[in-house]
Amino acid sequence: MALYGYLSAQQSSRVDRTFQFYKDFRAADLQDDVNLLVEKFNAKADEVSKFLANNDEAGLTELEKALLQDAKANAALSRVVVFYDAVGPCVAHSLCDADATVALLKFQAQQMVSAYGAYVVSQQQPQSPFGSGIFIVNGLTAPSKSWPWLPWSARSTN
Amino acid sequence: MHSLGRCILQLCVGAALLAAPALWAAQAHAQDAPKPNTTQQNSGTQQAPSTKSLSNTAPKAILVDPCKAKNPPSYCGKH
Repeated sequence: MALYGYLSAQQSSRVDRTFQFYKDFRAADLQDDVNLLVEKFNAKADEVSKFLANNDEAGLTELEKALLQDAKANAALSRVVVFYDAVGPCVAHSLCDADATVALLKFQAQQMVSAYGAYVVSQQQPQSPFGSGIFIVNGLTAPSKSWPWLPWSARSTN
Repeated sequence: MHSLGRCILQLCVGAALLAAPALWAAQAHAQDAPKPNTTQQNSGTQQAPSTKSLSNTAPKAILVDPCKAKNPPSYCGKH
């Protein structure tokens, strides 16, 4: 009984912590940042299609770099990446709930990885966690069907 | 017959002991949940209407998604 109560409380706090991140995401207007970045990327949809058709990953990286020459876009991406650098380790170490993260915060992470993943990778440095969180959240899978009180039985984030 | 009755009794007591904390936890969680504020606040000052329209705040979709391409770039599978 005590074990059940303990596990329930643990699970509840994981969900609460994730929801707090979601509230921070909304409060900081990060959705506006994501929208700005997506709009800029969409404006170059034709070029993106050409790079993809030619499997030109380097070209795609250069395009992303060019888009981020705009200070406003660069600042927006920095805010989003830094935000996910807090969420990623939280969920990777089972301090946040993975299913709640998928439900509330994965979509935007997916968009940022799709549109600016190459640039984020190019900015990463060895031994630095910068930019890893957005990939952790992007790599989460759909809600698990496992027993929610046992997060170690749920899934791997890798 | 006597032992069968005792066995059933033990099962019922066991099930009740397991179910009680679950119900208690669910009830406690429901009580902890914040109640929606249905009352209108009359603070005297009117809030300025937001300049944001729905189309501005709604999430935008990516037109050409590199990670959904036939040969997605390597970073799409990065964890």
